[in-house]
Amino acid sequence: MRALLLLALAAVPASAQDDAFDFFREEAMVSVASRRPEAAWRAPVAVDVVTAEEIKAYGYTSLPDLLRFRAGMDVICARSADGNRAIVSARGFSRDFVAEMQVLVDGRSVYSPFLGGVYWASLPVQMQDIERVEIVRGPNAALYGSNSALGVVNIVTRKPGAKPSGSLSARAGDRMHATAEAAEAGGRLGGLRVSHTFQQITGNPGPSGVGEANDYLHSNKLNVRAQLIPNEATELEALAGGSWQTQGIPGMVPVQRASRSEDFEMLRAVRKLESAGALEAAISRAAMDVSADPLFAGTVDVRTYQYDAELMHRIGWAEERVNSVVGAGWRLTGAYSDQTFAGHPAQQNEITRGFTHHSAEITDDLTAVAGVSLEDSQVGGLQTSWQAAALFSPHEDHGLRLSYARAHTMPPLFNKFADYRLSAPIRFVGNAELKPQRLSSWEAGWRSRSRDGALSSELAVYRLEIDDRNFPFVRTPGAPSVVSYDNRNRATAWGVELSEEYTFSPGRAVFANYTFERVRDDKGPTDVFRTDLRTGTPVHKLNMGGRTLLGRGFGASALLGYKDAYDANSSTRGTRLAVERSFRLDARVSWSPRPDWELFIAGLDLLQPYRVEWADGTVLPRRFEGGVTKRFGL
Amino acid sequence: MRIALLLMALSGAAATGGSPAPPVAVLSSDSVHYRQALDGFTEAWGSTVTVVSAGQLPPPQAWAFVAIGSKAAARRWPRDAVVVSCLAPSASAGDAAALTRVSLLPDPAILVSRLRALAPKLHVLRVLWTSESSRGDTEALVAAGENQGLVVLSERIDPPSLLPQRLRELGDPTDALWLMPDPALVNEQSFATVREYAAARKIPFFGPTEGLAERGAAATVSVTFHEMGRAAALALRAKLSGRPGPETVRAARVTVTVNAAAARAAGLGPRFEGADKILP
Repeated sequence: MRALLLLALAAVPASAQDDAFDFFREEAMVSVASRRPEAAWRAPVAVDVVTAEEIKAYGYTSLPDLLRFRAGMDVICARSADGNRAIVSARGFSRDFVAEMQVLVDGRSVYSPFLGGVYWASLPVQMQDIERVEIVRGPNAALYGSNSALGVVNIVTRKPGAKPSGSLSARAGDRMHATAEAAEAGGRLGGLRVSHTFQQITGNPGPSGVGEANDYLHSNKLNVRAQLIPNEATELEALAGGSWQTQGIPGMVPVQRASRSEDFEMLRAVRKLESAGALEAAISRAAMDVSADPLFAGTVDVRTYQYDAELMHRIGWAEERVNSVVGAGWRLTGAYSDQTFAGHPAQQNEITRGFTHHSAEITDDLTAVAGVSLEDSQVGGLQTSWQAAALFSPHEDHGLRLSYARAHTMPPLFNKFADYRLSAPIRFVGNAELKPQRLSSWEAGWRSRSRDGALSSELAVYRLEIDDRNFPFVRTPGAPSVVSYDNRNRATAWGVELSEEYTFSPGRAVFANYTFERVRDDKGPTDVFRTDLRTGTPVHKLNMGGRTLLGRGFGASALLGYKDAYDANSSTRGTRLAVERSFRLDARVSWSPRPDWELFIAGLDLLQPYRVEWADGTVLPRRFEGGVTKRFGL
Repeated sequence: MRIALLLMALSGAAATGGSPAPPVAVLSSDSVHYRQALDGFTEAWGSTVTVVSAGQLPPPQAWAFVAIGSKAAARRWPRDAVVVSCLAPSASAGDAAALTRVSLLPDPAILVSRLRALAPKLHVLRVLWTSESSRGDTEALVAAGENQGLVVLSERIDPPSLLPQRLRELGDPTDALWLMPDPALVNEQSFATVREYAAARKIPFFGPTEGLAERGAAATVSVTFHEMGRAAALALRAKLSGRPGPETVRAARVTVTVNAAAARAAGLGPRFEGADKILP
């Protein structure tokens, strides 16, 4: 370790100590790692930030594609039988329902308590609205509560601008077309932003690369954000939005038509207190209705809802050497379905939580971080999550961190309360005694900036253990077989994540990251879906990308990803497929003849006619797109 | 720790002070630039100053403040407080407090005259900026140029990533570039981009802080952080005496630093009229 540190310090160029830019440097901030603004590279956990500038330059059209090329992330284009269109997890454990990953949109949890996981395509958030995406890898349950054991993704959308402006854009390709519009206006007292996106996707081909796999998606999303700033110390915000979709679900049991609608409202207030930090309060409501027709015997309807209230106080004290966050939250979440909860169609979970998190500069070089969350819920009982870390920064641009965390994962309502006859031979019965999973994680990380801040490096090594892992097993063989859930197995994982980014100048940058992940799963022999976590996670992943401005308004970007072979296990279909190692290459060229116009062409998955990622009866074809954006009020 | 020592020293001085409620200096952090401004403020004020960091409570009776740094300026002030901010480019007047801001930009009239002395052939100066908070200073610079026969063209770079593209789109004539002291724009990458552009076209690139001349800008016209602290003290005295004053004040003493090699490469010289410092 000492050798590593010496090596790191030897790499510090003399010019890095120049203070010509120090005064202007306090800009790039991240809030998710400690729930208060702080420089990303000083966060106590592994944090990655994707900015709006990068989203535009690389032309990401969906959140899973944005996350796919980041270190430590496992992203699979997968169509689950319940209508999800992507699997996203951090540090392995890719499967249909990733219950250990918390996703927030402007601080509001969008995790689904019904089956566990996030329905990425139907999230009521639009790519054009995203200001930045903050990705925390590793447990952060001390701050965000249950279901954030493997990581947290915080999607931050843009606030209304100071002057009237807007944009219109259209995209079309061989398998999709989409339009997006946005308008905003504001002033000293606040502002308003309204945006809408329509998207129609033809869908992927079938297993042989031809035809259609009943994978279509028609989607509308609408978001409104109003901001009121009555005085310098107070900010009030109202956010609302929704998504309305119809889709086909391919696979062994094709659902001809599934509809999914999701809507939310949130009120948030931030008040700077006189010499006492800031107080934040938020209340929100969200609901999702899903109807799949036909699914085996008939239509399945599910309505889920969630109410949230949270109060949080941030304060810096002892001459700002100690920064603290104290908060409390309440959540009522539930699901109603006559089909999946036969006889007891309404199931819910009430959660109350208190948390506190502190960061203290012990010396100029050493910072200690500690946090604890106490959560009580109907489904999970009383649970404690905590985090402790030490950050050692012998030089301003270098930091070493050591951390340990414990977190828990609440079982989904379905696993606990289901009584659902999927088809004649299979019946799901929940286990009311199912306990939360318990995760513990050790991590060492090193971050640095060098070459005048142009080169950012990060290395993380981790080991994690999951006890009382939830998994499905055959409780009663026969006809029908009764499938239930249990806590009997244990999983361990360790990995290495290395990422580098070099910025030549604004608009010109390259990045590369490598991830090694090794998962071990002591699964029981009766695991009905044969989900093998050992082989379900690619061991090696390598991503690289670059963006540049070519002159005369032209810009170009490219992304290349490599993924090792892995076994795809679809628990919603009971299918398994050995997926070969593969490369993905995306490229994009844009042209802005004037600052208010942009045209682009892009190719995705360019290296082969089609590629397989999941056992869902579809393949990912090579695709081409083009589009135009006109901005107003620049 | 250093703030604590400073506090102890100043609290010792407070025992001999005559004012019942000395002004309170609120520092964003312990960084060297904020402390330089504090030194300037204390020196110009001439008597007791209470110093607190941004997270500390000021004395309850305090009503005159100097906020040094954006974080300090962003706090909520007591009603009817008299506040002057410096080294806080994004600070704006609001709430109940009457805020006067010391600009990072030198007096535009002095700036223009110093640039013209350095570059007698300068006719068209392009000014690069990004943040809304820089708009007022940019407009003041344009107006000062008009008064002295210099064409100053405002070039807003928003977002800053468009800088290379916007530079390529700059039409002629462009005799020189000026980088505003805008935190959203001033960083290593932007600086390198502008420096390369200027070098390729053999035109001078001027900047607002002395360190930029050391990094390869042809020259800088700057106000030291110490001087900004002094200007803040004078502004606070004026406000406390009830004299009406502008919302934005500027330090009077300007330092011109020339990077001789870069300046010659850009066609300036051989004499550098009005230079206070010449770097080889």
